[in-house]
Amino acid sequence: MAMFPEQNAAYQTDLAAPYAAQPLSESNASYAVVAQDLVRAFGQKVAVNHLNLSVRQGEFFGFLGPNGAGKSTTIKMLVGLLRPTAGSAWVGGVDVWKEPLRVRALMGVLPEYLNLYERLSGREFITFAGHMYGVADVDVRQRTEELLHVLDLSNDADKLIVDYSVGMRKKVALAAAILHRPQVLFLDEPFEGIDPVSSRVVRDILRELTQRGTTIFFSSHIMEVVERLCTRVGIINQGVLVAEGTLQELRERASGADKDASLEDIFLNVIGVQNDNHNLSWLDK
Amino acid sequence: MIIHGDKLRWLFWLRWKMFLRAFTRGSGRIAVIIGRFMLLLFGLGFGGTIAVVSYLAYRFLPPPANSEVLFLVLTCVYVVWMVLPLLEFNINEGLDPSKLSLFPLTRAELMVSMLLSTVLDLPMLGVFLVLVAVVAGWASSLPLALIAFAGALIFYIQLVGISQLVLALLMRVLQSRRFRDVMTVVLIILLSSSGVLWQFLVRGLASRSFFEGLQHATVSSYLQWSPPGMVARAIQQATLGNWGMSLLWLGVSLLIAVLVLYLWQIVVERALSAVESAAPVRNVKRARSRVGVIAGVQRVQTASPNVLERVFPKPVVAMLIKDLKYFRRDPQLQGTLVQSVVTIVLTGGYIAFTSIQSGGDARNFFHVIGPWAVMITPLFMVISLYSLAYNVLGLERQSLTTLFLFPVDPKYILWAKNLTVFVMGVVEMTLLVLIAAFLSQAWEFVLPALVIGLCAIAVILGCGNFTSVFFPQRMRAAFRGFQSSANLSAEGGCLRALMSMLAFYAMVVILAPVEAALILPVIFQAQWWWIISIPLSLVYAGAIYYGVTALVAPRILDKAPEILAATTRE
Repeated sequence: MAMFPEQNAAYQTDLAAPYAAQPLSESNASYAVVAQDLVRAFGQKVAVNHLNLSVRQGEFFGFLGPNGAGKSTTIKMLVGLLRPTAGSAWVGGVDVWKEPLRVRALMGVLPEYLNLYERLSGREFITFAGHMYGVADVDVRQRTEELLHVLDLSNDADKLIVDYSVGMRKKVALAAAILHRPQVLFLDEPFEGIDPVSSRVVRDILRELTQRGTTIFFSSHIMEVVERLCTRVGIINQGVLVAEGTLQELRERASGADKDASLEDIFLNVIGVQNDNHNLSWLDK
Repeated sequence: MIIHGDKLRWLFWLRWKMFLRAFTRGSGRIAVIIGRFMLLLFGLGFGGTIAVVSYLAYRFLPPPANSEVLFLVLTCVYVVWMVLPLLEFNINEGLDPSKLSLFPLTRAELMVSMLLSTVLDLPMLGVFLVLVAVVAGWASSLPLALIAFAGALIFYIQLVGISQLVLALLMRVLQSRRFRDVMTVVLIILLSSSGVLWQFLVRGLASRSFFEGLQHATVSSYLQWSPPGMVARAIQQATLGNWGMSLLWLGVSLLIAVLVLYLWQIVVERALSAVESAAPVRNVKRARSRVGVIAGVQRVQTASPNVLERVFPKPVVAMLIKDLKYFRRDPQLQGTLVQSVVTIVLTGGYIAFTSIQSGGDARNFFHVIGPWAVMITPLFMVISLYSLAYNVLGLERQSLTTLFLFPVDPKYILWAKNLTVFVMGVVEMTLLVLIAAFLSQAWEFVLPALVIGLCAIAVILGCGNFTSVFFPQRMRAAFRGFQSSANLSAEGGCLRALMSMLAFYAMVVILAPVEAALILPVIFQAQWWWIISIPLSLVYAGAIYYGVTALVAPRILDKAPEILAATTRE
């Protein structure tokens, strides 16, 4: 049985048309991230379909969606790694495709696939990233050691990344992404493969970053983490942004009567998953 | 020993599916199919050639030379099969017991299914041909045919068993990254020098002393104590009518085969249950890495700005240091670099060896080629260096995504990449030119050759920057074993390969004035021309490098997504 039967139909119809984000009343400069009519097609398949969204400075924005919904494609377009078929994107008020170098200096990125320099050690990679972002030598050294210590990588800092576990790679990549104190941080599935202790540390670091003004654009499958961290959430399905707002707003829109609905309930409801009978008939035999 | 036929059938079905899927699935499907087909043709062709040649030898060489050939063929196959897993140790999925250990299979089922699965190995088809030749070559009567068949069967079981035993015994070593790295470099060098090595082997086999050795049965007295030699001895004794001795040798071979299978099974079982025992090793590593951390911190704290940082922007220096570390640590890059040296050394060595062997005097030879050796070495070297320059962005492989996320001026990226190749090239060229000058005592040509070599490197880097930006190619990642490839092996598709080839010829044409500046004065015996031609050459090379780099660098930013799409795969 559907969790929110009375709302399901409405959201199903929403899937047919792009989600109408609130019109931008302020200029792009006052937003940390703006996507305007972003479209990306791979042959016949439209991975992202006229996506409009805006994230204010200092927000912790959660970007949710099922597998293949278009989350990573959107993030790649926002950070300048994938050219949109149509539409525009701004980060920190700067056009991603017109001033790519300025944009890259403003942001830090933890991509889904960590294409790190595997033949560098963790320490070498973080130091290298610091130099590439133009951070002063003294700061690079100090921040590298601090990050290695906080992320519990000190003991393995001189091992080559090729010998790291998935979680360690994630932590090194995160360290390299935040070392220059970016204005906007894009994180694609940052908690996947990270142990609970490190996960806690990373969460604390991210919280501290947002408290100090960094905007975080964050995609994840782990609803509890999104629920705990994010100030606003966008849900994408089949390339279309089907919902956007604070958790409270989404609850009100999606559930109506059920004010205590979890993000998972809202998410499943919004993407139109039916609560079918999943029993295995042969287990009773 | 319980064996369920049904389970065996399904295990064989699994191997059959995987065998077929290897031809029909995977990214770059057509390329995979063509690759597999070529491997099949090569395996059949190579095995078939050995089979035909050895069959003719068994049939038409007089005894004992024919049985000596049998000893040699079986021993060579055996040794190759024992060594191959060390080089090519991508586990045959059909032989990977870890994937089957979850299912309720008996030992016997596991071993029999693993043995059967080798029937569907492409390289094994070549071995089958060789074994068919053994049976056909020695089956002059029914009893002999039976002995030869039994011998071939026992040999096959031993072969599979021993190669898998070696593999299982050395699995930990084989899986270590350091071993894989070393093997990748060794294989790249071996493959690149295989042409010359092959020629030496053919010359050895065609020599008179080899045939004399066969006629005097010098090898069999030693080889008969090896497992393949025992099989060969069994067949040879049968041909002499010594049936008792033949059966005895065959019995011992069978015992060895059973022993090998038993040991293989024990080692496999131990390996499957040994995963938990890795903790002490980890502690040692941790303790070591702590020492490394302290040393690292000290290193970092004592670091100070160096000359490079005063001359070049910081990102360039950071990338240069990173790339130099990569050349030291990445086996694929190491292999490519060493390959360029080995190719020149082997080619030079082979020409010298051939000339000297055909009656020339060594001193005379070097005296004649002296000036040319010194002058041509940098040009040869520079052309081989092109493999490092023509696709500098692709050489970053997957990490290019990370590089493109940094706010770095694209010309700095090219500068850093070019500086790395430049440093490699200068070191390599200086060494080779000095060696050539030492051998030929043509020291007066060293300086002009080096200066012209520098010009040539500049031209190549400029041309390489053009192809890197406009025809970037995906580099094949360093695989293990015979799939290891140097950076010449790209996956950019036919069109890109064609464009790169055209760019290479264009580069040779652009390089021509530089070559002429060095060589023409020598041809016309007017070496004073160098006073004009070498500075002109320097200006020309500088203009080419600067002009092309300034032209293409901004395109990196514009084309970043397209370059990433061409060079990386996610």
